Amino acid sequence: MTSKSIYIEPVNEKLARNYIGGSGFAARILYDMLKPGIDPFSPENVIVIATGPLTGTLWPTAGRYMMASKSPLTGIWGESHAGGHFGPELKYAGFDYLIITGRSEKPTYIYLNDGRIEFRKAEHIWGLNTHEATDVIKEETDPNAHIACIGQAGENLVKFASVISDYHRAHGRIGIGAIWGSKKLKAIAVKGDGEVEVADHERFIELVEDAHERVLKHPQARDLARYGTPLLVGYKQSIGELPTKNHWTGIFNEARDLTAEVLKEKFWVRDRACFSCRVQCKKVYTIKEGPYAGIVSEGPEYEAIYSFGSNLGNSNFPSIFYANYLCNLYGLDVISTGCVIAFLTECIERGVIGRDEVEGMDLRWGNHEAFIELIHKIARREGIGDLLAEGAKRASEKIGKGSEYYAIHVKGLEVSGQDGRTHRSIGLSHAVASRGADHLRGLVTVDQLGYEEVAAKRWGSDKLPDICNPYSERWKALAVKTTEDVYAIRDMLIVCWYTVSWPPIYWLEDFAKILPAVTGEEMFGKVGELLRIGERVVNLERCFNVREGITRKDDRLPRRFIEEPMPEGPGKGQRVNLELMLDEYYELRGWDKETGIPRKEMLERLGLIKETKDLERMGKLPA
Amino acid sequence: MEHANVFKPSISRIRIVKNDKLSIDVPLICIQCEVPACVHVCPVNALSRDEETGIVKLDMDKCINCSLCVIKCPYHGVFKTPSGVTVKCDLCDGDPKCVKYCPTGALQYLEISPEIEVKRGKSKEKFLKLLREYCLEKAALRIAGVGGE
Repeated sequence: MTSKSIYIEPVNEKLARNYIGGSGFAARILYDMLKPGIDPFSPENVIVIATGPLTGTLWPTAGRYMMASKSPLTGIWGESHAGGHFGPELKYAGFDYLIITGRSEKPTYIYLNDGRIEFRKAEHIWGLNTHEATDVIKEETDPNAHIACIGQAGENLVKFASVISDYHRAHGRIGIGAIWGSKKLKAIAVKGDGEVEVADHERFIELVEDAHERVLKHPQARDLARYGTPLLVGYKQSIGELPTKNHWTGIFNEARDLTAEVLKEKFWVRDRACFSCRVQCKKVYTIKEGPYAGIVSEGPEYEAIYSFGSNLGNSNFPSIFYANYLCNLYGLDVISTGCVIAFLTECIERGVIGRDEVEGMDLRWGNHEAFIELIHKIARREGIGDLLAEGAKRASEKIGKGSEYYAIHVKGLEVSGQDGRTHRSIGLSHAVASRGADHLRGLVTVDQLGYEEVAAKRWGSDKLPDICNPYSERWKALAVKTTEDVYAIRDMLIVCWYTVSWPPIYWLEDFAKILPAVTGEEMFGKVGELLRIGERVVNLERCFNVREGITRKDDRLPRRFIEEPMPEGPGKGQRVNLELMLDEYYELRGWDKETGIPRKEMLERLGLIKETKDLERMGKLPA
Repeated sequence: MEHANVFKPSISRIRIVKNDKLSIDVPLICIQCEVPACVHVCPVNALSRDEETGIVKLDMDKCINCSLCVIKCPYHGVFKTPSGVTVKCDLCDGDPKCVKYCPTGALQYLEISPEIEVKRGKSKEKFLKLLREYCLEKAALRIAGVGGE
């Protein structure tokens, strides 16, 4: 970005063999290019935007792409994925991945058009929201171009700013939008008429047709198609894990107003889908009356309904819909935004902060007008919004007075819509995931949802029934480890969380069939080899974090989940014994129990030789 | 994909024009008109309607790639590929792959009957209305391969 120079090279074969694509490429590239300790907003930080070998093919859910960088919110490994059509278009334009370095002096956007790369001035769109900016860029490039851009939140370096592609698809977490803002990169537009060719077309099509059939016939995939992720609202409430009032409880007394059935009946307009998806989980809603009437838009997903709904004690769906819409306009992560508001609200409700200290806003559970006002302030960094724009961790450190207890985050990333107290494996997963409190890297679903057959197949029937008991720590380290390794492969391919993580339709054996057909590399046909690659990337991301100073002491949970038993519902009295699971997890991972740092033998087994030496030089390698 | 063994939407015979902002998707495909504008406009008789099957066929040996059919088709159902070749849906000779992959039943392949004809007429009107109302004409022409700078 600094010198507006371009360098195009073919994909390195060794990189492809060892890291497949997507998150794997990003982990390798960022580890190699970033010096430890750099300021995420400095020109030294790098953005990787990557597709995978399945992107742009007919595999169901192959419409995704990812971005990675050192996160400004957490200061560690940061990645975020999104669906839609941008990823496939990037491949049709002739690019597998992009590496963006430096920092532009003036606002700029990039136009990728059939192999060509152009830097264009963006002064005239700097300051516009994502919808306005996308409109202008479409006008200036191609009406059918796909556009990823930031809104004012990214420009203002809000630490959880998102990148929005094609108006509604979000790279939400870890503040990737703020990195764009720091580089003065407003947008990337892409248009391509090219093609994606696979190694063995006939074999690939056979597997794809079977894959589509399996989605089509799966009852839970059908439910997902019908209702989208809001489906989870009713379910989570029934098991007492719908995070409510800043993760205080798992029961929201007004959840019935937010169930998928109600949304479908009252607000639903139509369905949409990402590229090549058989699920079509995107729901378009509109509000017919009241202050938010007239907007037609995709979303909100379950995570936004939890973060602006139950977690704020708010059952007014139009306000949740509007909050989600507003976050997309400004380019804000819906999870972190809702969570920092929940943090502040609880601080006020409990008297940690005086009601007179928040600029006249009437912040109390359920008062959605105040929440909406706060979203504007966060995006514009106005008043107390400026403090919240730093994320719950930093905000609470600045406020002090015991407010730290109500900052529900891990490693600086606000906790997504799960709770380890009623689902032990997600407790462990939130604590150890490479980007902080994350529901996408290692959320085991088969234990909580009672897929006993699937669990037996993956981990052996001798682990039943404990492995499927969400209130027991037993076997959860094993479940989380395997799941992280397989999800790492999922994120290298790149395919969607849905159909892999839930419902559990495809797993390693399916990837081992499809990858050789796509790439021609028969080595990918071995399940063991794939697992090793998954493990390699999990360890590489861990090494990235260890270089930044992460150790066992950071693999923690908010004290609330450890000390405060679930107050009500089916999981009443439950809390997490994290240390027990951590010991087992490190053991299985080959990481030192004391420090949580990968051991030399493990790194060498995975071919991470350079990393071994780096950690040794830094004096971090366990003895 | 069916005709080329690669994944390449720019040569597809069914395309979708989108207004992502308002979440509108309009499929562009030959609807095998009874009185096809493309047949009428073709200067070399490369396009013809098979009276028995109702399929409007493009004879590639005769086609001179003049783009008249692409411009004249009101439904934007005839396309140019990036290399300038004209393509249109031939219903995969009676086994349309798009129908096979359609997850929602939006695409159906049915024997013609008076009821179906009425339904088809309504769909046609709806498509044209959507294209007009949401200003998708320009985008649709670009997708069809004839909308220049």
